[in-house]
Amino acid sequence: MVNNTTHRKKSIRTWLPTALLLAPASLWYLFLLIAPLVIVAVFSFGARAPEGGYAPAFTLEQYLKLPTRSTPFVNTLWLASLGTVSCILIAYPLAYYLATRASAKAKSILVALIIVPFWTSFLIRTYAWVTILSSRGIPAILASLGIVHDLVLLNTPFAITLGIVYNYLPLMTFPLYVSLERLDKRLLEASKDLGANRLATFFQITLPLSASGLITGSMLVFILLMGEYLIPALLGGGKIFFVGNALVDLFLQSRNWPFGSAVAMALNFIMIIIISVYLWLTSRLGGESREEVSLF
Amino acid sequence: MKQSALDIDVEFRNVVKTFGTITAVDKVNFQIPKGSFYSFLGPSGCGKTSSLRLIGGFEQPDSGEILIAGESVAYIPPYQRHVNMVFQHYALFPHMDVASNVGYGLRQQRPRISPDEISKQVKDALALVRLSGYEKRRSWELSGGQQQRVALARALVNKPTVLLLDEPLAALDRKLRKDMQVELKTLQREVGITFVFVTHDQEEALSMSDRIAVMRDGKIVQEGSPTDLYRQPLDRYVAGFIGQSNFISGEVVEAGDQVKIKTQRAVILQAPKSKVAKTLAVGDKAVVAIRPERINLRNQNEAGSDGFAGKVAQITFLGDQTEYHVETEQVGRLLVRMNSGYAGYASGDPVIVYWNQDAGLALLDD
Repeated sequence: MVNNTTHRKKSIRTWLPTALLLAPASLWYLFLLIAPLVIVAVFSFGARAPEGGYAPAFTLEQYLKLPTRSTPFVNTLWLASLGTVSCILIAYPLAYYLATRASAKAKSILVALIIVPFWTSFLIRTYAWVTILSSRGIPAILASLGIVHDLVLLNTPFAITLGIVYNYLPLMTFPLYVSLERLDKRLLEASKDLGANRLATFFQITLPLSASGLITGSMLVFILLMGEYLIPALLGGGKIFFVGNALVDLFLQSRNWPFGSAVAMALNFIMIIIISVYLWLTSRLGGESREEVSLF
Repeated sequence: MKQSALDIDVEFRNVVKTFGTITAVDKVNFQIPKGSFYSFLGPSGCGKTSSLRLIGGFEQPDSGEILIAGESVAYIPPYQRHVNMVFQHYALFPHMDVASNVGYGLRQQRPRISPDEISKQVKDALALVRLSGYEKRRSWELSGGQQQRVALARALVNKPTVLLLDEPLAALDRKLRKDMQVELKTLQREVGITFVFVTHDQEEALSMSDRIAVMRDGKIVQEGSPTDLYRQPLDRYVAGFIGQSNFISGEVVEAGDQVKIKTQRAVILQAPKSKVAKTLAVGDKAVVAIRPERINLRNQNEAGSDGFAGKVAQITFLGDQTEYHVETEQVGRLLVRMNSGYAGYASGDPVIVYWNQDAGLALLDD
């Protein structure tokens, strides 16, 4: 009996601080993530009210209509992949240079240069590119130099990719930098000692051992790109429709909340698949690299 | 000691290597005989690791020439040298299992070796280091000693002309280190490959090496067999670094093969000159070096005319041997090591320390 009460007291003593510590975040997530998600899920099975908005119903109609909106999904997946690959191609050499070759001074200057643009808001930075790429920007300069005439940069896939790389590069660079920085340089010497030249050493040692950074960076960029709205809207001129743009359209323009909800649920579903692949990949890396920076 | 070029696996000719303002290797010359166990011994920063990295090709000399198996290796990168290294902390690849680690060198070879042949050679190499059956283990599942063996197998499987070992035993505990010393020496005899070993541990160097180069400040001070270095050290530095020694300093008053040295207390000590050292001249600052095991003790009331009176200040019992620190008026504090069977002196006991005249060695002081 006595034991039992002291035990209970102890359990309250440990239970209460835990609850207090977790309460703010739990409430935040409950009201601003879980609850809206439930509402969206419920809406997605509903019907559109005649004047727009939501009318209670239980139908799969919205989901069956999804194929009519396949274009934004294809666009999103395609540009998110292209953007991620572009970020890898540019960030890897940069991160490699920072981690292995740069002097301490060059390193701090370069890291600052990567971060400084982020002191300006995302919207303003992206809007600046509209001016640079518009007909009065780079195309005008090139035309006056007589190099290319009638060059169109704005509202093209190129402009979107450029905007993506510009905005998302640090998200790729830093995880890569961390994993390359942690790479034991003696392993590279050991590889060369055993007869592998620079290229063979890169593919057999450096690349596999920086895989965790590569996967983490790719996921950060890819997942955020799946929900990207601003870059295609501003730099793509709304011509290239992303899922994000489709959602804004459905909810605000056509006020078809149930269909918008179904599209949102489909996007969530794709994300869950991608994250599962990510978790599976990182668990396969195993061992020492498992301790490295992980997204979740 | 003239040897033909074919009997020499590694040779340095006036090799210089500087890092910024520090001269790590300073006009070094040596020849490593084929099939020998050769050690570089010295404190950290003496240039021993730099010498090893120069052989491996991880550093390029500023001047001088390096020859491996009689051929100059200037500008030949590490991956084209028939030399393999066992790194200080093993540098095993963490993303590969033991078999992939050991087979790494074989997989780099062109023309390609068949996977069957590679796994056969990997198996043999693991058997050589007594790790059969560990093929699928990951490096972090292995103990320090086992990682050490994998690193050895990974290097030896390539059948290098020279195997470089950079303080490979430093991370192991004392017992394991002792076992590995014997094992390394046995392994070297078995495979017949030239081993170049770097260490700061004189005991390690003495127990394994055929030849030792004692280094200091980027230079080789003395090179020779372990017994040569122990019995005929060139100077005070080598005598102090290889084994333990008592040093009684003074000034040379009579030169020759037998040197007479007058200590600060005006005691005249006589000792033979080290055979390899330069001749000592009258007036030189010199020391008489005496190994602790060459000094004897007796009771003050025992008969005998030679020796110096003193008092046992401290006793260290080592098991089979006992060390006495004896404080004397005339020649200072001396370390005496005797078999524990003779024991019988207690702290504070008055004793006489004495030694044969040829037990000491007259060396130039530095």
